[in-house]
Amino acid sequence: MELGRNQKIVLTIAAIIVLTLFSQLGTSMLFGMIMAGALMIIGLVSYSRPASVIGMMLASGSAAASLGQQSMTVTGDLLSAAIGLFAPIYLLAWIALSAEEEPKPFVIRRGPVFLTAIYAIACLLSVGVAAFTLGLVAPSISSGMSALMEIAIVLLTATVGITILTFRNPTPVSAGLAKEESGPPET
Amino acid sequence: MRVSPLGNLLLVFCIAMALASVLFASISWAVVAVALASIFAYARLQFDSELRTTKLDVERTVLEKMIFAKEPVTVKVEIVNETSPSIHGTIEDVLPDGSEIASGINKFSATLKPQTIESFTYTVRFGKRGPQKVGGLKIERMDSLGLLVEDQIYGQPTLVNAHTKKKGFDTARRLAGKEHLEYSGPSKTPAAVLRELEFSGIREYIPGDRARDIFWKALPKTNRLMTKTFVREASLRTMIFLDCTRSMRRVEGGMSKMDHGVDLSMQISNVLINSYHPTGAAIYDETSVLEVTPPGLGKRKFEDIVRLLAHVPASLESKEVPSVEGKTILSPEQSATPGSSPESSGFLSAVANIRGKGQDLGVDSAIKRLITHSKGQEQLFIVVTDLGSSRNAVLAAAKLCQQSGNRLLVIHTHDDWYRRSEEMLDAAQIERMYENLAGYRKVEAGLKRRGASYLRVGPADTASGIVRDIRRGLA
Repeated sequence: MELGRNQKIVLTIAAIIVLTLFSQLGTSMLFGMIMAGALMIIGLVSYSRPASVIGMMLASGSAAASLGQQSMTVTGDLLSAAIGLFAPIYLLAWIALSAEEEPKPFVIRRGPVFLTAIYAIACLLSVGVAAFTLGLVAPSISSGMSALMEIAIVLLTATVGITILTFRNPTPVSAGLAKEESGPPET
Repeated sequence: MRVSPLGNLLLVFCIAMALASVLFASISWAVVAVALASIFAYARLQFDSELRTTKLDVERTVLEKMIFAKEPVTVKVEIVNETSPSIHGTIEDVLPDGSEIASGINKFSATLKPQTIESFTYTVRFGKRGPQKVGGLKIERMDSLGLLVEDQIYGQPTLVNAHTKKKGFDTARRLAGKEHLEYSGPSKTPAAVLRELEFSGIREYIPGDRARDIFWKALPKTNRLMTKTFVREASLRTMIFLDCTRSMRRVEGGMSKMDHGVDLSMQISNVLINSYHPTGAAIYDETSVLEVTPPGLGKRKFEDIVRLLAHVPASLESKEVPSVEGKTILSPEQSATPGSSPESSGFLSAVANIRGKGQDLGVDSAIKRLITHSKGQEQLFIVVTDLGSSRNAVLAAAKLCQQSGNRLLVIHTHDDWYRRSEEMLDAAQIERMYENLAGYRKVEAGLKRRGASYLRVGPADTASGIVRDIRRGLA
């Protein structure tokens, strides 16, 4: 699968719009978001990966600072985080990193897509799962879960998950035995 | 698998987002961190999957039939990408240590399209004689998002045998036309190729002598008829043994004894063959004779010898200064024991123990076999050795030759002369060199007592000079 430059620009604008809609942007943050969008588009137009990546970072920072998400245990907040922050940031990162003049053909493989989806879902639902488990074991703690505790659970899940996913090293291709090249000498 | 600078930037940003989430107690930052971690995880899994499924067929061909050290050798590499997606990366055909590119490139960025043959050619100069391992094909690949880098090696390395420098062959050819090694004596197989009678002396005329043999110039002076006598120039079956033991292969900063030995063996053999002496060659180590080509004549025989010498093992670089040791393998008359390294003493002791039990090992056993099969014909054995690891075997061979009426010439590559020191020698080193020389003098005396000829050579000694020495000593 390979997206054209124009398709990427459209997707970038769409992602920026989604981020803007879900955030409570102030003037400065809106300016930051516009700058981020502009940088990303410039990066895509000029096939400059660094510009796109910087734009993506700026957009991520602005969106995260503006969203003001408080909890991951409420379904509405969770959906807002998933659709309004996670999905656009993921899309922006993917577009920014593939902003090359000669993009390599992107072959989507089922295994990596499936594992990454599980990883993302596990991270986003980790707080809910932890709260549910704690509710069964210790109901009093579950009801009073602080924001820092939720952050700790999300980050712990993310760290453990990525460690497991990247634990395996690809099998090095063996050079094998040397093949002898022989020929009769000509003196 | 390595993380690229861009990947590191993304990871640092991800960690910064995680820290910001803790600092501002806002989960939004953590969600951003998770999104970035997810893209990194996806890139990693995708790249891992790509690397696992990649299958390349690499075919490497060395175009020259004969490969010389320091001479350009053309290598052609063909790659077929047998997987469906194209492979992007920096392709490099790995060269052996000490070699350099003469022309062309062995490293370039390329896209290997599926089921398509990509080929490239370059020429390489091997720095030294001996087996050289070319390849395999190293591909530095980056994942599609530019976050990860991995080096992979495909295909089997190709093993080629680089012969000695081409200059050595040229010298061998030149010497063959220039130098001649005569041998006058009885030969059981006077070949038709033997051309001349060799002047032997003058005696009083005996009736029946041919008129053309009368030495007319002596008549006015002596007032008597004198007759010149001649002996038929005969052929001498010669076998050249090249020592490939550990001590011979070791190089300590200077010239390689092994390489010089190969050059000398090749050049002397060509002179002998061109002088109509059936010549063969053998290479041996501490425990066995590695390869043999029996004595013979003609261009094909020289080619056989050249082919055999191409299999001489490579020299071993060593910075270690050898100490005086190895007394376990010596007979009492050689108390000084120069030229062996400490690490080999155990190995030599083991070999000496096996020899002590009457096992046939090394050059002496090979000479014994040749003498057994010679049907009494006189033979010349030339042993090119440093008298290190194989000293006892050479002494045993000398005794064997003396007992059986054969000739042995030992060309001794003197260890200290091949060692190059950048610094001024101190008193201890000079003392050690003197001890070494004294030790070798005793070995020389031992060889001469057993009727063997002995030549001590250094890197400056040429085959031409050695042939003249052989002529003086043996003809």
